[in-house]
Amino acid sequence: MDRLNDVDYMTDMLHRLGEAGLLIDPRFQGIQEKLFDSNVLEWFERETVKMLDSYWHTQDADDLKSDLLFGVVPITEQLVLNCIHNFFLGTAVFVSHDLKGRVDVDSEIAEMALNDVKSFAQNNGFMNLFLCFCVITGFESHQALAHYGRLTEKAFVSGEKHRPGSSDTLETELFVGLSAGFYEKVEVDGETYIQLTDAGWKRRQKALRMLTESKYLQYRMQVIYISQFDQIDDWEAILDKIFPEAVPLRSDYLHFLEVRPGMEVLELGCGSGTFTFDSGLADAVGKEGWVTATDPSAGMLYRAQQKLDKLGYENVSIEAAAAEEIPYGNQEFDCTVGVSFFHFSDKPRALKEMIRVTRPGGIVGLQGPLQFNLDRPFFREWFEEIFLLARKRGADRPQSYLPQETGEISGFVRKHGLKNVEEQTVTMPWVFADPENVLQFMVYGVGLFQQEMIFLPLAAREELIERLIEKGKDICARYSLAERTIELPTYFVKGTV
Amino acid sequence: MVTRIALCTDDPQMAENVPRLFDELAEIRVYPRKNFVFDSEVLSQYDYFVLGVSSPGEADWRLCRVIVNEGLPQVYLMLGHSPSLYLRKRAEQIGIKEVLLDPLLKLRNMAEKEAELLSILKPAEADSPTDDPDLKYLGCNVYFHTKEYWAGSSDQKNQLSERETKLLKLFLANKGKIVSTDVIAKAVWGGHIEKNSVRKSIKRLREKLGDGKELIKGRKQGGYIYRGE
Repeated sequence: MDRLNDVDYMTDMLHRLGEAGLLIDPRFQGIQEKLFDSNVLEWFERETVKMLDSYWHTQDADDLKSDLLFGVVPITEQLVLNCIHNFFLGTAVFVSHDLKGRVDVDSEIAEMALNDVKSFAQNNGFMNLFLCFCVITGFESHQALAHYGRLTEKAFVSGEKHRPGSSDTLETELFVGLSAGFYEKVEVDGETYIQLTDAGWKRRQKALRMLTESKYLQYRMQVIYISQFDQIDDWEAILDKIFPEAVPLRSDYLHFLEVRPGMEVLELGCGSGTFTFDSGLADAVGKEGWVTATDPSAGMLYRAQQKLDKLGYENVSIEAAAAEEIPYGNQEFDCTVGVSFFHFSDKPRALKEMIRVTRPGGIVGLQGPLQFNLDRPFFREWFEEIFLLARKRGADRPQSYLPQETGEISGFVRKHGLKNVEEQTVTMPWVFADPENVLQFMVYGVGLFQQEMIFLPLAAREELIERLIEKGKDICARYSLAERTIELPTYFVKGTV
Repeated sequence: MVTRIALCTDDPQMAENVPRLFDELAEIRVYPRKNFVFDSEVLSQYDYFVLGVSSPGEADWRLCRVIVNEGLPQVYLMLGHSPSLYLRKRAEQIGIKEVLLDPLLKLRNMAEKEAELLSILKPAEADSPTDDPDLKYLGCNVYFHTKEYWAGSSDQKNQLSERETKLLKLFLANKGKIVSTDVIAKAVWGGHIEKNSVRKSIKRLREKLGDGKELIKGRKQGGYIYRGE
């Protein structure tokens, strides 16, 4: 049975894989390995061999050994080994990001990653883990070939353009791709190139469908958003420069919400605590009230805790939580609120959770950015390449995850049962101060062009960012600060449960 | 939280029996199928919308499609007979979550002979051998093996790390009591850990409990509580 071609089947498996937290990104495999402690690497190698023994060198491995990938390519020991090893490494990186906010794989994290991978294989069958691996890694190579048109055989196998450090895997993968008829070799000026065949282009489309419909790419992107926040040391300094009026704007939002003394408030996506402390949420609830500030990012929680320790508020607690799964009981809060987090979340799940934990008559509030004017001359010029990438995809402008207008959000919360919904649209200046700062914020911070960049091969992505920084220097020299300021529309929405 | 179900049917047996069968598990309200008026405000109060019908007509499909397109609640079809392949396909195309069978019919089908009827009525064999002293029941059909270090059910086991096992044991030992972050940090990490790492570890542990993730709840003023079922 050719399950790799069964979109429904693979979509279901990839979904389970994402839910289990096995979010590997083959583009980073080789780079990650360098970040690992040698003890951990040795441990992973030992465990890889052990797992290989129990799934490959065993009498029950017949279905694995007799199966043909895409109906034609036999599964080899090397492929199975790569699969296990890659899942161990990749999962360890994600667990580390999740728990620590940085890549620091100690023995405890390593143990957790091993457990996650083994549990998935046990619960869903090893074959399915392996098939998911084939889809994910295969897609990455197809994607690189689609982007570059063709790669020399040497470049493909070394992975220098798309998957550095994966050379041991890529040679086998090249063999699979050629045997399955997805790649072909062409000779140009005495050099051998690899390119996609028609079947290869179709395969890429199919794999893309599996990866998007299962939400696997979305899960992975969410983790990347969160961990990128963690990487930026001076996040607040960057924000101050870019949004000089963020604190007063959030204070306005607090008035709009009508938070009163004595209220028990749950804050989602508290970040480093700007809204909690600087904009006055903790003051607004007073000594009789309470703020429970939450965020899923380990790095942000650390910063919020530092701020709390420094300021010494006695009516604030901090907790690790995602909006989609709030770890509190039903109807515990008078007000559940978050600023600039909603667009990063799985919206229906997050809103349902917010409503669940809020008391009847209590307030649910949201604030966040709306789509902004992309047609300002400096912006068009600066990010021309991103516009081109979008056009390549068949869109006339970069895809945005931001809502068009406030009514979109207020309509959405109404549909989910909130009553007495009120809304307001305000603007705040968004200053494109200096190139480094802007790119840090847009690419690593809020992932504004993530939709355009996610499919780029690794080297192409890095090169693009470099070029955008260079271009930015020129733009900043030619346009005044006023010309480089966008009025960012922002929505305020609240309703009662 | 009690699951809320809107059951839309004209079948008097279904209308009477289904709510009774799931009395404790869910809050089921029956709406007449004939002249049922779609109202998103009413429907949004429910987790599931179940349309009970012997065989769905065009109006039924339309209704299901409208609710699916509105995005909430999840739509199920409950039939009085086993669905044909065509019917399943159509339900899938529309976005109906699943095609269900009238529970009474299901019972009747399971027991065509008297002997089978009695075997159905017998108490189920324990899913996991409960005489294993190291296997603790946590609630929500989730077990915890204190020696083999896993949580879950017999077919969905999530392997836990040594520390995660220690952490879960601490909650079990303090069932019904509030456990503070400091106490956890001392008991599980010997105090050598940041508060936020404790928080993140608990978040992960809850995820490993799957269906039982709600068993460990946060307290808004800080700390955690495991209440069991």
